[in-house]
Amino acid sequence: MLNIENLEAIIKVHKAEKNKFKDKKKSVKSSNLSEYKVLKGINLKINPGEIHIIMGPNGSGKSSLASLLAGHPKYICTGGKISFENENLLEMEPEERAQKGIFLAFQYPIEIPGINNSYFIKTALNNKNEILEKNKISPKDFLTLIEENRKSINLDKKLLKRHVNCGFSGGEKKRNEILQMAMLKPKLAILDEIDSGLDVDALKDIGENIQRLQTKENSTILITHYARILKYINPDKVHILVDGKIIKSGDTTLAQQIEKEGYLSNASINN
Amino acid sequence: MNLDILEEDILSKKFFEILENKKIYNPAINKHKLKAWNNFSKTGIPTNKIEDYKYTDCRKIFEKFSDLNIKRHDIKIYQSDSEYRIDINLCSNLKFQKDNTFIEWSQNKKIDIDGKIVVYDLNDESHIAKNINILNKLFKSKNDNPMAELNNSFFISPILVNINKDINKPIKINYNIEENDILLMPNIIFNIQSDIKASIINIYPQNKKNHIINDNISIFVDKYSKADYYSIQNSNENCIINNSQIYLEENSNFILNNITHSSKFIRNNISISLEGKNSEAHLNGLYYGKNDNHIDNNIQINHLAPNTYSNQLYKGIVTDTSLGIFNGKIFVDKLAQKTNAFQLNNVLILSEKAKAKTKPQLEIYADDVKCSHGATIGQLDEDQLFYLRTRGISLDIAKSMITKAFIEEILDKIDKKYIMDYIDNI
Repeated sequence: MLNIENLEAIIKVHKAEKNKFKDKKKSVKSSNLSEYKVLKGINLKINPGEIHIIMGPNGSGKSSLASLLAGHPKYICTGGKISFENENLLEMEPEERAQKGIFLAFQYPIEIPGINNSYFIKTALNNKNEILEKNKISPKDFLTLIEENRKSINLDKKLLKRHVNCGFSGGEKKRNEILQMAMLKPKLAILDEIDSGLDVDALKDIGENIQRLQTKENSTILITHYARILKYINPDKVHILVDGKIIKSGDTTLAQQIEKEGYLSNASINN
Repeated sequence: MNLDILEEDILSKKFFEILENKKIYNPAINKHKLKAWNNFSKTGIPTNKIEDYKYTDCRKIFEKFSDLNIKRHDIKIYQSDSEYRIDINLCSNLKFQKDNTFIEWSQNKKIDIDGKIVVYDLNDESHIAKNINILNKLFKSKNDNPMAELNNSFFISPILVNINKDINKPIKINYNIEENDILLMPNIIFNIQSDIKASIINIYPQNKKNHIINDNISIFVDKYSKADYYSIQNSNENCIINNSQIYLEENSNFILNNITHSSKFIRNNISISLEGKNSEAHLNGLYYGKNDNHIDNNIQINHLAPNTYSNQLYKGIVTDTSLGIFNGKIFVDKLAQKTNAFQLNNVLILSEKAKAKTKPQLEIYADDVKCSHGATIGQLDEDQLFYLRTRGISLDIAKSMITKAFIEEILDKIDKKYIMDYIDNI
């Protein structure tokens, strides 16, 4: 389904933001934009029905990988290939990738004042139906479907009527991401730190829903710092990403080992 | 009369010659007109050398007129089931719909609609005498706006609309002009008596006839009354200089809904005086510039009495090579304790060559007040666009969703029942 080979990438950052990257080595300097190398040769193959966990310390490139896969314009591929269902992903606009079945759950979901949450989800769903040459979903069917998924993820009903993510708590924003995933039924879901900042109840709801939405056809990449979500999810593979490279891959036990020993010991094993 | 400046200012000189030729001899009003002219001639037609007109050169819009084609206009009043209508006409061959009843001026140049609305022709001497108080107030008010004074010095077909009882349908100002390249200077005074609700809708001409309209709209809102004023400017190739003066008495409430889009040149000079205690003014402005549109909002709020409230929300969108300007001044007199005054201007720039200027100003002489002002100018948020696109929404739709969301806040505030037809295409 997804095949990443020797992927290298940079991020272009505006000068105002560059403090975030101060410990990274700058490669090129233009007038207003600075460039930093974030991915340094990633190989990853994901088959239908698989769940992959990517763990790694802060700044190792996990979120960069997620954003690059979704097509964020700030990230630019400088080497390697990404194919998704035998098509070149790098040639597609973000919306085309989404239409082909890629979904990114944001680490920090974006607030959009003025756009009603339920209207937003409906627009996205109808857009997808249009691409797939399906009929628009009827208002009644939409309500039934969203109500079903909303209940499953335990999102407060009034948040559907609010503006997208505006005034949502951290946990509500993450529940809202999973609600969108449930509605859009992607082939490949990339969940960027979906479990960070969650209390035990929210973690349980989100973990169980990720597992619930998993079928033999679709796949999931779950980026996380902690093994605690693995209580609810059975991954096929766990990868350790350090300094823009996958330094180790294994099964669930690798995640438990990281939790106990930290990344550094594992990094040194490999080096 | 200050003629020195006129030597260099050919345009103002032309105005002067026309004025001289068309003198109306009425001692009561002539004194005022003369004063207005003197005020006007201090600057002439304002150019960007004047601070308040820094980005707007009014002389440029007159350039296309080799002759100043100032026309007298007629006022006609209609009534239908849904509205009262004030028509500003040039041509005699009028078109009007079947459900409109045309109401003739009576012999003494007065129209009385069931005692609810009484309209006076202020070119008539007896009406000038009878309403001299309101006229004095109008001309006396410290008016440092040259374009309003130019209008006053001509004082063409002025009317006074007295609203004496609640009216359950709006009063609509409508233009009926079929000729090209006309300069019009209507002057309409609304006097809303106490404890009354009234809605006034001003629809500027939407044709492509290259008019210049330099109007004076004055609204007096008496105690405990509530007035909604809609100013709809979708005026194509026409140039509009709108001068609005609003005077609010005790416990009165005024709402301005100003919607500007697809207009070549707009300058709004809006002055609101909160003269009575507990009076309130709400201003909702939405402006959308495209092509080479030039939109300039110049707002002055004067808090002159205690416990008064004003709230301005102006949202602008500019694209192509258009320019959108907001210049808002809040003045709080030392008598106006417990004033609450708020002002916010947000502008969204959609293209590289579009420009926006914003200048909020506060001038406060009272010590117990709550005032705030703010302004933002920005582009579409990249992160918001990306978020929508990762859900499969195309870039174009995402842009339009976020742009709509930007103006949603203001559309939410506006009672749209009378103006839906005019804002549909935004």
